[in-house]
Amino acid sequence: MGFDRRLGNGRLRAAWLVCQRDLRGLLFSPGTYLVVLLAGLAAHLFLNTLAQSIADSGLAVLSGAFNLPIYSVLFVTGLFLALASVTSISREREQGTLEVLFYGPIDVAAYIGGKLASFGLAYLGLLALYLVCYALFAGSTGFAFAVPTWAVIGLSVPVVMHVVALGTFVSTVTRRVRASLAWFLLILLVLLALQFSPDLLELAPVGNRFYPPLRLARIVLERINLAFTWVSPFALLIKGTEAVRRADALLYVYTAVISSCSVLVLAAGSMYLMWKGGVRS
Amino acid sequence: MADAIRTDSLTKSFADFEAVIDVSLRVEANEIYGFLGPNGAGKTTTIMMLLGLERPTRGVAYLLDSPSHAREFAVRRRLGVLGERQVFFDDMTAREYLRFFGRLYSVDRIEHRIDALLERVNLTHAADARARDFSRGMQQKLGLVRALLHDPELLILDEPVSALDPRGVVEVRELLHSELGRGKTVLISSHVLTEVEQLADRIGIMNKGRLMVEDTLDNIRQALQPEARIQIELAEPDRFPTAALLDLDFVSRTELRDGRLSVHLMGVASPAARADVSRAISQHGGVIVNMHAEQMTLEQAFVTITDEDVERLAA
Repeated sequence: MGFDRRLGNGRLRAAWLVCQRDLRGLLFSPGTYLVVLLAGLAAHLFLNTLAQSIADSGLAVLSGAFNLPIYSVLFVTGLFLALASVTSISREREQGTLEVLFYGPIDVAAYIGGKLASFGLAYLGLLALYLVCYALFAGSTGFAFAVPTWAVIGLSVPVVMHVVALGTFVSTVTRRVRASLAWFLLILLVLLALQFSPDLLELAPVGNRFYPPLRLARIVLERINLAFTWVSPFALLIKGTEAVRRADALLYVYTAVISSCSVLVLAAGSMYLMWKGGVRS
Repeated sequence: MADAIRTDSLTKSFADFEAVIDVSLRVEANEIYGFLGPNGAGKTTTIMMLLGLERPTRGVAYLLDSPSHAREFAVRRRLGVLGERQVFFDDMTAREYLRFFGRLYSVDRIEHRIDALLERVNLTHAADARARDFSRGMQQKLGLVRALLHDPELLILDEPVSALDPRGVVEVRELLHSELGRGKTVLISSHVLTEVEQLADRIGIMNKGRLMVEDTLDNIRQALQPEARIQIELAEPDRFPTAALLDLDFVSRTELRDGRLSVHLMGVASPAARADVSRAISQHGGVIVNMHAEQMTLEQAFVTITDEDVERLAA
């Protein structure tokens, strides 16, 4: 294949082959089609409700018709790719295919790089598919894509890659598929709890809010949450959507950059741990 | 001659036991090295350290002069490895699987090479079937094809014939012979000792993490059993002067019993020694009806080394 030759005989070539192989795996995976179906159903639900509302009252007040449908689709797709990344390396290790691969001219950088690239390209491919569907729908209904919708779509790429890189990292550390899934879900729950627990404490009755233990817990959780702002994809996503809502370009760029840096840090961590821990089951 | 494989005091310790202890082995270029040992002897761990897939606790392993901890892609491309267990990627057919590795190893004319090798192991009919659905024997042959696909300089084969039926063994043996004829170095780890006995130039035997012996099979035999015996059936045994054979300096004694002549040799019953005995009998008017050497098989040597008289060999 000509493209392969241009990539030379080194790491880039190996990464590209791993990427192609994994993309092929995703293409043949029933999960991919299930997620497209779920995404379509979610979009249908929102758009149908919107169309119904317009049909009933002749009016719909929205900042962007495609916001909710697009967000739901991106969430479902991102979650699917995250789960796929969590199981991918531990599954290969468990099956022994990782070992066979490493008999040859490949190293951890090429392998992890190729894996992340495959998930990135899969996300972009699915995104393109959704956008074509929405464009067709927009053409036939007259609904338009608002600028903030595009901004969130753009931000979703580094955020989804951030979650995928986190999944890859967990998959590298753990040696069994079950353990990978369990650890990943635990990490997600902890991050979600840290994200939302200070707000939940706010729901306490006014009289109890200044109850010292509750106040202390809130302060501690807020501090931890502040620290996790730099690593939690949820915190970054919320920051990013807030930036879009407030049209704050600086915060938007900051969020995208932090997410991208997190991808690099997690990828480097995965490479180091795989190099250190080996590829055998 | 340069060493294709070299390890210096290679040691691997796990939490509370040492899997490989101070192993220093040498495999010369263009030789076939039989790497033997009972289950749990440390063979696979040693191979994994050679390949750089396990980090040694102590010592260094070199393949083609490249240390395992810093092996370049160019060196990895010169290695062909058949692992103990054959595993395949999801949903890939045999041809797709080989094509993937062919591209990884930058093989020229991939399709031609795949077709040629599949034909050699009689797998052409299954080229477009899913590799995961193959029988164990077919998977093993496919694994071997993968290992040979890029025409490697050094082959490391872990149990290459263990899952094969007799016909498969013949196919693989012929394939290996033709590849070996092209100047490759091979390290074979196997439990099928007859196969190793036929193929290997030198043998290394591991036991309990240590390399007990590393030598040619003849030298190992000689060390373990200083005397070999040739059994000869003669046309007219009673008229043959058996003492005449004692003129050969490697013959220690002769015995004639029940019409059979036993010639005891100091050392191994090598083809040259057998030819000398045969010539001497003819020169003294004897007619040989049947002749066979009784000497320690590799299996017997293996059992002796791993079970019993290890100290004798070390001495």
